[in-house]
Amino acid sequence: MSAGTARLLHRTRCGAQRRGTASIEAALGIALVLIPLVLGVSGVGMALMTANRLDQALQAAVFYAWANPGTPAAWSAQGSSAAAAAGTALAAYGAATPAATVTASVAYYCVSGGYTQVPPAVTSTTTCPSGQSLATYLTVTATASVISLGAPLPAVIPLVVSGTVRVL
Amino acid sequence: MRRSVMGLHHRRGAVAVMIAVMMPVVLGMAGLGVDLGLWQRETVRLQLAADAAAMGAARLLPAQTASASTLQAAALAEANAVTGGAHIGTLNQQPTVTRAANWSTVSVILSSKADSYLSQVLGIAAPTLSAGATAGAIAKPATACVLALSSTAAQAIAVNNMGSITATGCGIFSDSSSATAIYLNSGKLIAQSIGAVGTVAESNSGGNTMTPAGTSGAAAQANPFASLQAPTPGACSYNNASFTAWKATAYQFTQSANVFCGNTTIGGNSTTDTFQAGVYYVVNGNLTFSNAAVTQAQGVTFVLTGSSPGAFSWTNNSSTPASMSAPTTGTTAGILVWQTCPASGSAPANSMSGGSTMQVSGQFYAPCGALNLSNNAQFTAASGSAMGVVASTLSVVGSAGIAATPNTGSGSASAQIVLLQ
Repeated sequence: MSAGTARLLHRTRCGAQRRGTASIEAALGIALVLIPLVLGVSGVGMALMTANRLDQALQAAVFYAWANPGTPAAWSAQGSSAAAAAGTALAAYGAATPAATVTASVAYYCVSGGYTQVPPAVTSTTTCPSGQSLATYLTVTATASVISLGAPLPAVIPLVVSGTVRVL
Repeated sequence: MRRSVMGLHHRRGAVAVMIAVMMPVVLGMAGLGVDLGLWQRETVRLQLAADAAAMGAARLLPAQTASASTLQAAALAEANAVTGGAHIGTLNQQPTVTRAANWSTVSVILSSKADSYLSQVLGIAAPTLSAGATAGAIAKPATACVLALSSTAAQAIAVNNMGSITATGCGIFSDSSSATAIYLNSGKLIAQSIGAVGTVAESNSGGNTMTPAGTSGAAAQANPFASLQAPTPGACSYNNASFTAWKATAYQFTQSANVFCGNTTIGGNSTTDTFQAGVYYVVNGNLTFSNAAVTQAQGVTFVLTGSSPGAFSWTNNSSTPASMSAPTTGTTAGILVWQTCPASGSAPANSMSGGSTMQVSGQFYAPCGALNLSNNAQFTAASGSAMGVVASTLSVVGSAGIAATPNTGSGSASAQIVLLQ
């Protein structure tokens, strides 16, 4: 083997090692940092998107309630109408909203000073003490389970959006 | 060779170092992306919170007593309730609340400092979010006690030639979409509210009184008796009977013979006819009171029914007021005259004419037929009683008048709280 050939071989071997080291580092970097980062960001993005939809479902139920105040007694049935309005808002997004549900419940309180709830809850036919008035509250809860792309996030991200409004 | 070895040492770990150096930038960019999404969500939720806050404050408007700080507290309570206080950033506890001087509206502006997570790595400060809403208290349209149900008729409520309709404490309403749903021509309409699905129109002949001004393009009012089922008559007690012959003693009608089949005429017999309390049926015929002196018809309902119901017709040229009242219980509670709908088409027009006054307690209900008043006939509520007219169409001409009053409580307008913007 001539000296020139040996140098050439040595240089080639060194170059291969260098390239190998860089590849391993790059592979480690991608596997440990970049892929989880991309998975995490897209998972959070999906969760945010679904949370926005739940917010809009809550808004639909709230707007329904404000537009259809009716009577306190009628709200025992209207609560489900409000939930249906929210459900319609969710359905508008089609199957893209994973496993979403909406529930609504109605509660009655006597309120003092025009807005301060006086516990405990009463019924729609209660006569409130002097200086207080009967108020009807609708609570809407929208839930969904987001299937994420996995690590670093949990496989299923549970989301809950809940709000209470006074409707009467 | 030396350069090569140094280069090797230098380059080993270069990718790791590069990743380490780039990490804050990459994390910061990813974090900024996530945070931008979060801020967008918080902006949307803050708007819902502001809507609820304005609604909460507006509920205090009708009482016209709330101080600025009370409005602020009510607004904050609702804003927190609708969002659970979550995902709206850190709410400024001093929202801007502006109330109209006349207590009609209130505006709320909420501001909050957005939550910030990873974007801080890039040194980007969380923005201040802001959302505003206005809500107000509007008067509910009064429940109509004079209601024309026809959805298409022109002049569904027509008041001509010094006719008048007065609805004290309740509304006058036409469900017709016509350009003359309510037509006033030298007449008078006075009510708590006047409205029509179509247009409330007036002639330009002058001499019109309309208080308050009519509202055109309003939402239709439902037939308040739509759910009622008319009772069914038994076998005929009389056929095409006429109770007009002179009689020394009064005609007395009782529940043992209460089904009149065919055209039935009562009156002009110089006696004071009496109806025992209960339901009287007229099957496939007109019920005509002609100069009848009916002073005893308390707790009665006249049901004009059959496959082809006839019309209720009242003529009285004497000056003696007649008095009638509807039953307070049973399937026809509150209804004095009930003309049912024929199998198809409309029912014949009911009429009242002549100079006397009929004072009633109860409703005139003819969902498929007209009610036409003319020639100074007065159809009025008895003192302290509820009286109303629900007919397909309604015409009042020639100094005739209807004076209706609502059931206690039903016509009182209370404020409705609405989100304005």
